[in-house]
Amino acid sequence: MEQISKLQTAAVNLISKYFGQSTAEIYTHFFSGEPDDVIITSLNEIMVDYVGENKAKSEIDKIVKESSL
Amino acid sequence: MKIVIRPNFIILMAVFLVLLAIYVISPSIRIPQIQAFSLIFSIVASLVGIYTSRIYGFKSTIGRSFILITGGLICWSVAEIIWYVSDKLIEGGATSPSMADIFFLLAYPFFGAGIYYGFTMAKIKLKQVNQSLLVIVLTASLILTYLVVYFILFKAYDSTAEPIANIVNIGYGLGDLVMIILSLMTILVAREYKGGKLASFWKAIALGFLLVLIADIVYAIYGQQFLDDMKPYTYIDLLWIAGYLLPVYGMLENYLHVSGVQKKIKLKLQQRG
Repeated sequence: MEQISKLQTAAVNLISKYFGQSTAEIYTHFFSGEPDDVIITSLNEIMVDYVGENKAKSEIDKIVKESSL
Repeated sequence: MKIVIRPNFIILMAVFLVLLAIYVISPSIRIPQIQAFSLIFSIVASLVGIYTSRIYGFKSTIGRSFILITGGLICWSVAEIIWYVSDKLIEGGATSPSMADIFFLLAYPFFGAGIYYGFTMAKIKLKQVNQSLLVIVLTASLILTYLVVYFILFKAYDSTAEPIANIVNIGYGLGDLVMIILSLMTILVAREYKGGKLASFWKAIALGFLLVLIADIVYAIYGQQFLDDMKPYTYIDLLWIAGYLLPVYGMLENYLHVSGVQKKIKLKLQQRG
């Protein structure tokens, strides 16, 4: 449970960093109660479109690694 | 490689071609309607900037970056308004130095801060940047630096002019040197987001800055012919206008993308109930 919460927070922070606060707030609701794989898939989808494949991968890998610590 | 031409880009090109046609057909650019083009597009750029910044907000780094760059565009708008109004109200036209120059120069710290935020956010690792790209960009930067120093900075100081006039003229030269550094930074940021929508914003800013720089250099060489309303020197104006149109394109593309993401996810939330 703690791990999911960490990933959700990290994912929302990443969205806030690139898409701003208002988009992050919408995703806070969207990610609520969702399993890790759904969060990662959604995050990957919007990040690849916005920052490109390489940057998306490095940013998502970073938060996954940090969240699993 | 698949090339996608965006509708906004087609609109931007159409606007630019109409402007080009007007400049080619019109016997003079010293008529209020044509002189108002820079003013109008600077205001459009500021408004689109404000609109786009709102969607990001000031709390996020990207929001700060957009707001500060918009701040620079607003300074240029204010400068254009002051210049246009004083040119129409003062007998003999607008003079320099004036308050307009102050606002033109004030834009540089805003652009600098905005691009600094964008640059630090991108966390660029220079070792990972394509070395050929780095060589091309650095060579172009050195050539531009030489041209700015030779044609703008060296000519900026006039021992017979008022100190404030010298400060303003040197300020423009230094501002152009800052713009070279900022263009270099924006190209690297755009490269970092290769394949993503965010890259289009940084590419548009980089190209806009480069066109303004080229316009400033050409104006420094052929300024008298421009002031004498001679063609093709009057077309320099189009480069400055393109310097406003490109940020409009970059910001609009990002606004539409982020608002599209928001709409899509709101729809999914509604479907979920």
